[in-house]
Amino acid sequence: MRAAWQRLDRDDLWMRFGVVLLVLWLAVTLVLPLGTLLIKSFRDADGAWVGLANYASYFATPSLTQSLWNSLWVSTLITALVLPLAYVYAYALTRSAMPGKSVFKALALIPILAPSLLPAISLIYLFGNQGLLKDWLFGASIYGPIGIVISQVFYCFPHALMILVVALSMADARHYEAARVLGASKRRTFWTVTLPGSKYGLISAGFVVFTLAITDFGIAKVIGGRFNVLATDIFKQVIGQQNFAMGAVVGFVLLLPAVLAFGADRWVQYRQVALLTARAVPLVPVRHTVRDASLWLFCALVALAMLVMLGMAVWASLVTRWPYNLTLTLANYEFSNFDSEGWQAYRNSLQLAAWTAVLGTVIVFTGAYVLEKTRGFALVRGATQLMAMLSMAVPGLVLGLAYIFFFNAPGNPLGFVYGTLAILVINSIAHFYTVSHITATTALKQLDAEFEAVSASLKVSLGRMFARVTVPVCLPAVLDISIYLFVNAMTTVSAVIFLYGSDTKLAAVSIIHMDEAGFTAAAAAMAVVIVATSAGVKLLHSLLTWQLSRRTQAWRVR
Amino acid sequence: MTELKTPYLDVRSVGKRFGAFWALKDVSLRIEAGEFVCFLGPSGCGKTTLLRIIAGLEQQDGGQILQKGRDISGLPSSQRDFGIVFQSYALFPNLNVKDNVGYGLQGKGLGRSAVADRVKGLLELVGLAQSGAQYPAQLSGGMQQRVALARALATSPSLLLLDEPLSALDARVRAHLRTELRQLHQRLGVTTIMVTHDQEEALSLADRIVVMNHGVIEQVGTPQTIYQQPCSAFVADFVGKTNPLPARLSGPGRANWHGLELACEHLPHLPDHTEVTLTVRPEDIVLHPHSEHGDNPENHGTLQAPLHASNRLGATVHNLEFLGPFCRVSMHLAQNGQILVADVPTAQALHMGLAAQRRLTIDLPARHIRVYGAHARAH
Repeated sequence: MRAAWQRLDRDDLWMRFGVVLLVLWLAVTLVLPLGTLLIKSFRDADGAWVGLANYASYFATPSLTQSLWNSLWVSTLITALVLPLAYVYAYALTRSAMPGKSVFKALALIPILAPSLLPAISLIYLFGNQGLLKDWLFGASIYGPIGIVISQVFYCFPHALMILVVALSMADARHYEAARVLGASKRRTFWTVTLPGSKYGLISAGFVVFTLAITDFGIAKVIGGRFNVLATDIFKQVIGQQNFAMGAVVGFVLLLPAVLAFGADRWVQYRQVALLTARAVPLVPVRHTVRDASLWLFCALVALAMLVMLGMAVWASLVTRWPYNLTLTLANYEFSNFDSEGWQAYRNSLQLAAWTAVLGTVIVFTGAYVLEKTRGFALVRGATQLMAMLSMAVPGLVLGLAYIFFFNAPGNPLGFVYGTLAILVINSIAHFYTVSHITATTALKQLDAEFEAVSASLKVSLGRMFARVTVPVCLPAVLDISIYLFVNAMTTVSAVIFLYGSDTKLAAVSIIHMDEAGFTAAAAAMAVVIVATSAGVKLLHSLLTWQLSRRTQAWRVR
Repeated sequence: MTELKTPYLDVRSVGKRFGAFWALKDVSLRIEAGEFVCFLGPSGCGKTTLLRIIAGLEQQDGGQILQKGRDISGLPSSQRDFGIVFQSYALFPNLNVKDNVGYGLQGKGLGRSAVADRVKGLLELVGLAQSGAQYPAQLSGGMQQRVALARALATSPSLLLLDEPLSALDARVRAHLRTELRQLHQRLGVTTIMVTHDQEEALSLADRIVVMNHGVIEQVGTPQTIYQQPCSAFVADFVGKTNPLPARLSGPGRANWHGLELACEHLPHLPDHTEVTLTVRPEDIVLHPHSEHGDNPENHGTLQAPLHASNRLGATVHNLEFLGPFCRVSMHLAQNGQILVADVPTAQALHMGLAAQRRLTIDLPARHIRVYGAHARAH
């Protein structure tokens, strides 16, 4: 006997409606623009179909392929430098008993609050033509690969650190006891227990750093000099030569290594098995004077370098005329003297960050919820999940370029958002979608899978349950998502450089403009304002989280 | 077929497939109003799947489910009448006990004080009147289980579904809650279906037990019937303990087990030489001290005489396991080299001075030997 197909109730219909909305959203903000970009790379300037001709001429142009090579070796070098540094630092934070761990952790995260341009500007003041420590380079120029590599190491360090800290905190004390009982030396224990245990974190951090390094635009623009990389090539092709087709080709060349790295990372994550079972005994580091002292020294040096980078930018922004007149002044903060938009650029950035945080959190969290909890609809949900993960692999510059082609195309009914703040918000949400989505999904997966069944049996609608249980329980994750979106929207350059309009210029963009115009001190000042804002909001967020957790998360305390 | 009376719940040839694996095959079952029914079986037997299909949490691939004569097969969970308690309890961690219990009552047009009264009554019912303001994480496992029960009963469902509700608790709390669950059911009279893999739980709680294995129902019956007249070697072995003996019928009322002729009382109509499985429960094997004349035990007067002399065997104690009130004795049979397991009250074991290598005379009373055709279903 064929069974009667179970009817859908109102909640099922709402959930499916939600999934469909999410599909549409991701299609419009991510997939269709990228598709348009792809098509563009197969057409010539007049729009005629030329197949792979653009790609052929790309690979036949030595100056362009040189950039590809430059990008690859510089990014590889950066990855090779960041990983050991971040690994030792993370090891010190998680496995030593050295004092001041929380301070060290906070200091190491400074670069996340700043635009990537900040370390580049600081380096110019330290090692540039009129730099404080110019002699240290023995005549080599900071403008070029050296400057790019050093700036990127600073910029990428905290991203690798966060992954490695998580990987290294997952330690089961019983493994170490077993190694000791079996008479393994410290060195052998490290190679056979510690390193294999953090292997996947290390691989993941490697891919993240490589992707960040190869796709970043700001650093190469400010300190790259005549050293061309893929990211600056796109900018030159599009803004400089108005060669959109070639810009699209370079965009796809840039997308390729990012997608490969992303795919490899996913594959590694998929192979990873849970090392920590519920019965694991957490590892508590014991005091070991020599080890702790040397790790403390290492961390102190790294943290000092972080502080010097930040301090240099602050100092430079306060100096009257570098290096001739070192009296302190606030004149560099009168942005209207250096850039037509003045402080308006900063206000635009604030607006963008606020809208991105609020709208983005609502869309990402609700989207993750409907994807996670809709019954049936498996194919559509799988495809949507893939789209949500795709965004991480798309460099901001490529996404921005794709938006020009898509939203500016004649006949697109959504064309009205072009040049407004709205397109910047949409772009930022799409650009930073994946990490937020993973955060939300992880939090949702920790909820008991039977909550929905209980609600159905008690005839309580899912909407009511979402508001009364799901959101309150996931509140810490919701706040994390919002702060992540805020800080990234505040600091990003690459995603928005193509998209700002005449009255929506952003702070990070004005840094580039002021730096180009030779007002480096003002550029540093704007970077400092952004750091201060991010840090302030981050502090506010910590206070709010703490307050909320005292009131609504009382149940977490036994 | 004419039906004299419509059952409360009528499960008709329900099937469920996961890929190529049939979790349920053509399962039919009728449950009367007010009954306490246990689905009992090993893990993977389909008992939880059947419960979830009744709740509408899984979609069946065939068959029908009727509740009070109404076909509910196509209804989503939210339109079916049931309350459910999961093994994990699924309590909302951010709501206190009162709000958890009142969760299904709010927004239903009930006044604030009506809800509060109902919640108070439910908490008293499960003995948690004092814990209303606490959060689930602050409660013990047993208390959480009661909250989940009160929450499921709040909307006065006519069917209560319990998915292994006691298995996450330790033995002492489990036994205690078992009694309370039974009393609660007697007080409320709500039709209850409980899934469990614990035979003791099923035997003590259920009005009727549904024994399941490999996606089919093996037997439905009262606890006594299931225990005393298991209809398959699997049921005999799963509910209680048994010695499964592969044998071949050798004549009317006789079977050959590895060269030993045994008399057995319950014979189905099977031709001679059919392969069968004989079962005898450990507590039904009678032990005597060894006597040289096998058919003339010393303590003849105190024991019931076996129906047939051929069921008196010589054995040697192989291993002795002390289990508190009784001892489990595994014995090596001299005649055919097989092993049998018997349960002996500890007092008797002490009296007989049982020890390894001790020689014994044992009886396998024919009326306790059950015969099952083929041992395909034997576990």
